[in-house]
Amino acid sequence: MPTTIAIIEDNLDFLRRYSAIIEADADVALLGTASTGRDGLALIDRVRADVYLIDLGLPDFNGVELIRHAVRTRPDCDVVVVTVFGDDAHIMASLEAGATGYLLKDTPPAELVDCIRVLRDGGAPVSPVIARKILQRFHIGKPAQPTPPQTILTEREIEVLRALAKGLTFIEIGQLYAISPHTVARHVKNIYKKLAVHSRGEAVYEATALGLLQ
Amino acid sequence: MKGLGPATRLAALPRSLSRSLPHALLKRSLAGATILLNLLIAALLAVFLQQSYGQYQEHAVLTAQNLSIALKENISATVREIDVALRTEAEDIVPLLTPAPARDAVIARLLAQMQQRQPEIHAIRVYDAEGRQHYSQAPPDAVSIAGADYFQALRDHPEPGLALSSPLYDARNQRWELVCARALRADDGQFLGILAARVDLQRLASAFSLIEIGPHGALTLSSSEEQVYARYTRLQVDEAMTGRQIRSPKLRDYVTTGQRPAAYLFRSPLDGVERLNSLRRVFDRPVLITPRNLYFNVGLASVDYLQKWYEELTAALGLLLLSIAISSAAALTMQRFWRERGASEDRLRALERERAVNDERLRIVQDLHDGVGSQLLSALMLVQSGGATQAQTIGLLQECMDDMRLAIDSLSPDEPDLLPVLGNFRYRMESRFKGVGLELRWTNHQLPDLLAIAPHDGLQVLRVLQEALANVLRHARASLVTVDLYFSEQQLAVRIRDNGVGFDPAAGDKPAGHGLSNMQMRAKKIGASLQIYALNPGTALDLDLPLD
Repeated sequence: MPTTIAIIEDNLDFLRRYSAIIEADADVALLGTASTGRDGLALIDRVRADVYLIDLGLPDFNGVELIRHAVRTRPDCDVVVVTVFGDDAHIMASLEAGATGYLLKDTPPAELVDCIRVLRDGGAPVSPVIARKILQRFHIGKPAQPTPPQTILTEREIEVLRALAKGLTFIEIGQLYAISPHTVARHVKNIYKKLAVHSRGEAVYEATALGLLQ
Repeated sequence: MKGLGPATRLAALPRSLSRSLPHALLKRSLAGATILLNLLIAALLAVFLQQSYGQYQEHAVLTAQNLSIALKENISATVREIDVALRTEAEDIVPLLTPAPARDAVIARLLAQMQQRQPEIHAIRVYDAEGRQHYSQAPPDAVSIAGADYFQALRDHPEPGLALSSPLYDARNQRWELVCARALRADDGQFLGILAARVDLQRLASAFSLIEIGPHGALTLSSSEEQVYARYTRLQVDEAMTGRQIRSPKLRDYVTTGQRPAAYLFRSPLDGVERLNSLRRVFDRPVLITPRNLYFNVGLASVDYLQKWYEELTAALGLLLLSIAISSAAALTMQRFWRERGASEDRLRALERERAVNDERLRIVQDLHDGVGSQLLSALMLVQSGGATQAQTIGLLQECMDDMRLAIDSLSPDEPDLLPVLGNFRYRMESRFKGVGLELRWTNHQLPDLLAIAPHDGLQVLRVLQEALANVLRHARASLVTVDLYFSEQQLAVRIRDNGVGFDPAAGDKPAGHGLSNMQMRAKKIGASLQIYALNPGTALDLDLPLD
């Protein structure tokens, strides 16, 4: 049974490209597409796909809001954000909204399908720069510095993140801790989920501090 | 080249908030110190004033006591002198009265002699046992004095002694007088009459005006019955009080118990002046028959003896006000100085920040120019020439994208750490090489936790690596590329080896032509050494970036 995909993307060239890649691969099947935020919302509500590919730069809607909506509506699905440059600010915002993967718009076809496969396998991709951003978001410093006690990450997850931030690959990390690269990828996905929870907590905390919530 | 770039310095600049906090603290402690200083000065002045007050008070007590002793002795001596004269005269007169008839001429001579010896007395008279005038030098006094209390006292008291009348006003001479009298008694004690003389009260009080007791001081001579004989106040004899009574519980106690009261403060109801009073009995041995005794009081006014102290108090208050004014002014000046210095520091900091931002902007423009800009230009020219294959165009545009990503990864605002950026580059390259079926073997040696290199310098390192790997992809026709990174405290060493076709340096063959000079320029910019040489087969690239 192939993995089902829905795409929300306003640039028709890219939309066509993604559609072509997905249709060319037997492991994945395209369920639907939308080219505006409004249609995207309707698509998410109407169609349950295994993976939603969502563009951040929609003309009528904040992509991050759309991601949040997708994660709320389809909690068992994966949401992948698609960006042009992969600058960490946009990716972090998406991850905090609940996305579990990200793709650059010029990603080669093979890699796109690889990414979807990793996600359905329970893992997630991450780059060293993003890994470091996540460490910072959890207020975790270098190994010499003490870990803040209130962090929701496990010891192993912190180790994995630190190794990733130093530029080690999944394979190297797997060798380092005698685990498989898939396990490393699953750690990453868990970390993403905790990041979304953590950022919701931070948002609540900040809102409380600002007096917005009682 | 080494050390932190302006972007990092920018991030490390302290917020202005961090300065305003200690400034407020400084302001508070400055105010506190000023108040404390003035409280200290006030306390010192208060102690000084208190001690000084005690000293003035003590001095006044001593003065009052000394004055009262001296004046009491003076009065006592005057009265006793009169007493002695009267007694002597009486002893001379008594034999002349018994038996009668009296020898008036002899008495007249005696009285005249006495008058000569004692000029302070006058109207010396002899009265018989019924109080009628028997003889007088002065004009005859027709009225009987049998009702006068001094006469009755002398008649009814057989023991010898002097009797004093109450003050009497002599309307003719407009002065107060006092009658001093002694009894005339026969040897068997028979009362024959009295010998009386008048004393001008002014004379008794004459010594008062010689004493310096201040403009508000008061001297009072009164009887044990609280009747005033003489009072001196406001620098003159106060006749208005003569003959009247001044109620004084202290005097009454003194009369009753014989215990002299210590000097005491008392606000007089007569004139409302507070005085330090020293009260003294004039005669320590019984001299008088009536009144029982005389009492003398010296009253030094507080306003007089404390006048110096009041001046000191005024001076001290002035000093305190001056101190408050000076210290407040100093504190305000200091505070303003701090505020102005803080403001100028803020301006300086803002200028520095602005300069850092400008520097950073310049670097980014330079980076755009060196990187994406020149690559886009090459692509444009290639496509314009019409001879570009699709693969060439794709390759050039891909390079543009690659350079863009390097810049985004390197220059994103963060702590300067090249490791994640190198990692991102490695991820991208591994995927790229895998896509074309070429093996990229990347090894980190002694990978540290952090590699602090300024972002723009890091970008140059990555561009050299990017160019080198792109050259391999484009020209080398290799099957394996190894990238080894050797990390140490002193330097970052990069070794790239491929097993491709290489080049022949002897034939003037240059690897990738234009790309090489670009790489050399970038290496030079960051103080790194770059060597590219032929292997057999393949090409080697050594990049050494010293760190400090």
